[in-house]
Amino acid sequence: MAAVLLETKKLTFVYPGQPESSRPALKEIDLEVCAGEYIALMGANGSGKSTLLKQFNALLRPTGGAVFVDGLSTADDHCIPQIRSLCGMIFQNPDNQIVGTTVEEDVAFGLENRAVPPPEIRRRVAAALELLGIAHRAGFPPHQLSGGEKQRVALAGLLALRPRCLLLDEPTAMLDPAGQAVLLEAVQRLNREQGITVIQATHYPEEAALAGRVLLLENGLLLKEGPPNDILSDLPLLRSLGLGSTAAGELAYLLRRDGMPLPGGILHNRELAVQLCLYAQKN
Amino acid sequence: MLICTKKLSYTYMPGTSFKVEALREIDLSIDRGSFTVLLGPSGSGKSTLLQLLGGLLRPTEGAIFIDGRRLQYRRRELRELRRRVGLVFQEPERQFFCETLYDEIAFAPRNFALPPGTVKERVEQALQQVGLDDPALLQRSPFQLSAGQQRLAAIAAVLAMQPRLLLLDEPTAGLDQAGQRKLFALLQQLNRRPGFTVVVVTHRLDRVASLADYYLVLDRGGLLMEGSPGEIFSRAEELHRCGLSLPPVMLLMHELIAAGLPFSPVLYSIEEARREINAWRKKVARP
Repeated sequence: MAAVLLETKKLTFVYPGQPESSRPALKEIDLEVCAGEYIALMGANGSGKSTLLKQFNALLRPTGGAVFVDGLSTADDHCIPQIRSLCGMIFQNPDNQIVGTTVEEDVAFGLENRAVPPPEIRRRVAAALELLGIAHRAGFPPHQLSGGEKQRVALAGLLALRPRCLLLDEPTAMLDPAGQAVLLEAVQRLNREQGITVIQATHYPEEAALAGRVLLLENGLLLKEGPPNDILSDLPLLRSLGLGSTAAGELAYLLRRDGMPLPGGILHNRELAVQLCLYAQKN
Repeated sequence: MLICTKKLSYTYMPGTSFKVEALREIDLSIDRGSFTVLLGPSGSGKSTLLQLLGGLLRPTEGAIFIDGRRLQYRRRELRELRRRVGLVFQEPERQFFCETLYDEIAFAPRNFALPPGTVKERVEQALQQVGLDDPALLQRSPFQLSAGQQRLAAIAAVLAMQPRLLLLDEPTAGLDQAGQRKLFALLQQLNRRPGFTVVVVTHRLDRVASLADYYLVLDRGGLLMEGSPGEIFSRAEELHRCGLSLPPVMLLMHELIAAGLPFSPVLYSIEEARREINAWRKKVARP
């Protein structure tokens, strides 16, 4: 069992300015995330996905309970620089998170802020751009890049800081299909090859199906968690939350309801193809 | 409204070393009452085309014809165009600036100097159309609404002008599944009115595929394809080559077909797939 990297204990959060009596944005969340996990965070708009992500790099800090990142409490001011180096975050809209006048400069921003020596900055920036397949864009002004490329620039800026965990808030929402595929593939590879922990908020069941574990949030509560095959095949639950499953998951559920003997937990197109072929053989 | 373009071109910063040819010689037509989807990878010119159709940009070459008349960009013409064409930008709720939902929706009708009684009617109708007609919401700040409600309110602000053509740029980005469902139900309901045309830019085809009756596909500033869903999706290979994808249900059917199962490759909804597989099951089931 890998070591616990992120931990919340009865994490409760009420946004500042909200009356004490109002519903907290997060309520008594107990969660452990091991190093190297790939987690998808699902839930309706307003269920607390972004609020939870922001707790892990101390952009927000608990109003009740506690959050630990590699054993460091986000409530402790002295730990914050270290926590932010361990956990980096990217947001939905790539235009809101790019500050440099060239791609290279943007990726170097975090390193410069941390007073890393220039030769080391150059090495790390080049390596991060290379890893994400955007080295050929190094000297470009970011506004000339496609949305997918910009998102990879933002991701490269995080990677240059060598984080242990990536917090991704609907990173593909504004991207075209090719941009989505390249970004998701890069994230999966970082998780698989470098053991970087990933927590990704998403509205798209196809993306959640790629994760090792899915967390379902509802009104600030952690409602259910488990492997994608369990969580994403519980269609009645998903629908009651305003969510859905993958195309194969939805179709398999409906076919089962129509009386077709299919096993539970089908999420991927290939899985459904195999089951239908088996069905044809048996009959 | 029937829209045609002839050799429509748009170049940003023409005559400078920064010039970018966003659209080149586009000939297209959008029928009155159609539900048209505009597809294309990032940077293919989709947003530029929407802004040209909405009269916000003026072609650098070529022309737009509305109901057969060439748009001349006279003041009165543009005023009329802006009344009849509603343009919903990406993340339109970011443009909210009024203190109450009522004022937000009333902004355009007031701007067009409609009488106060008419303004009130328009606001009520628009909010009713999008399902936000709870009187308790009217005096609330638009920023207190949920993300899905904010998106619907932003569309209501456009509907208050009673447009005949609605242009939407990625209207579901960032919305949860329930929000997406609601938004497309609204577009379908608007499109059912005689002569109401909807043009949607989107990268996610799961919900729109069963509604759309016409597609335009842009690639690097040119019109790569236009036609019915059947015509477009039978050219899957070309779509794939320019970085586009099929609706998820079609990808699923392709996988089933590749496995040797006898299904149709062009289906637009999970329901159709369900019917087709159930019919197949009856055939293969042992008597």
